[in-house]
Amino acid sequence: MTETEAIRLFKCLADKSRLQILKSLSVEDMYVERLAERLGLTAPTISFHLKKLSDAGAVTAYKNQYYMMYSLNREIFQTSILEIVQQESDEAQKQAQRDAEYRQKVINAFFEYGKLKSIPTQLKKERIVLEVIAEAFDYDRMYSEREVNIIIADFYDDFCTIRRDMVDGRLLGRSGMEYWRIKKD
Amino acid sequence: MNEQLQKFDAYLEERIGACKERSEQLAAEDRKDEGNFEKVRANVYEIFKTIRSVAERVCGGDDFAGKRFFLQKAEEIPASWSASYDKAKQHGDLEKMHIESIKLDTIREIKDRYMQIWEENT
Repeated sequence: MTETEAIRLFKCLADKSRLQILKSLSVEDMYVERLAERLGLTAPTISFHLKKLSDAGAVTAYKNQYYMMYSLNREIFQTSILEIVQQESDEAQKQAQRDAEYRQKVINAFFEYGKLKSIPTQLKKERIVLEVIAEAFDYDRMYSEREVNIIIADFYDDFCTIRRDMVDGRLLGRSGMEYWRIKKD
Repeated sequence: MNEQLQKFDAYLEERIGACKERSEQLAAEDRKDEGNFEKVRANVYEIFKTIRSVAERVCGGDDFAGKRFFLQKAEEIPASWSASYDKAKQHGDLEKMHIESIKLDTIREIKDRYMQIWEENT
């Protein structure tokens, strides 16, 4: 179920009459007049609600002799709310694109020909800069402090600050004098 | 104002009040759409309450001219509702169809009541 579909379904369910219709349909399939009689509403009002429920995918219709019968779309109600919440947002792709653009803007501003011009003051920007430097390290390999300093020095002269910030930022792990690149979660 | 008009005005007032009360009650029961339908109904009564008072102003004390004026408007105004209903039907717009049919049912009721009151007193 997409985010848009979930919103439409929730909006549709936030109505007592529609909920009563669904409760009736959970017992058995029914036609408009039967629902109208059962719920004390007019047939046109029931038709109106059924159209909304049908548009939201909550009910389906089929023809049975002279009547149009309505039934509960049980499949849609077997989806848990947690599944809906965990569904990737339609916005996620746009957000990722905006994040990538921002990241590139920071890289362009702070790196020149592969060298870091200065350490950003803003933590968010510094994190991006440190992530770029971290890419120079391989995963699953141990580095001595000297090796770490040489790699960082290719980017920036103050390798001590960068090394310390990379360890603090959990981009590099450290045990004694040995370092390694920490994998992202 | 004669007795017929007073009776008709009282009827419209009573219907407007009842619709508004029902609308609030439905909204409180989380039946907002049905509450809105009651507001639509109340609007129709309001429109014809205004028409009734315009008829009195335009036609002065001439009861028959006032009746003619009112019934003419009661034919003219719903014509666009009928057209709107037909258009909604063509496009399968059930919500619009329902709203237009509520308006048409209400004006039918208003006209019947108007004629009833008129005949009772003549």
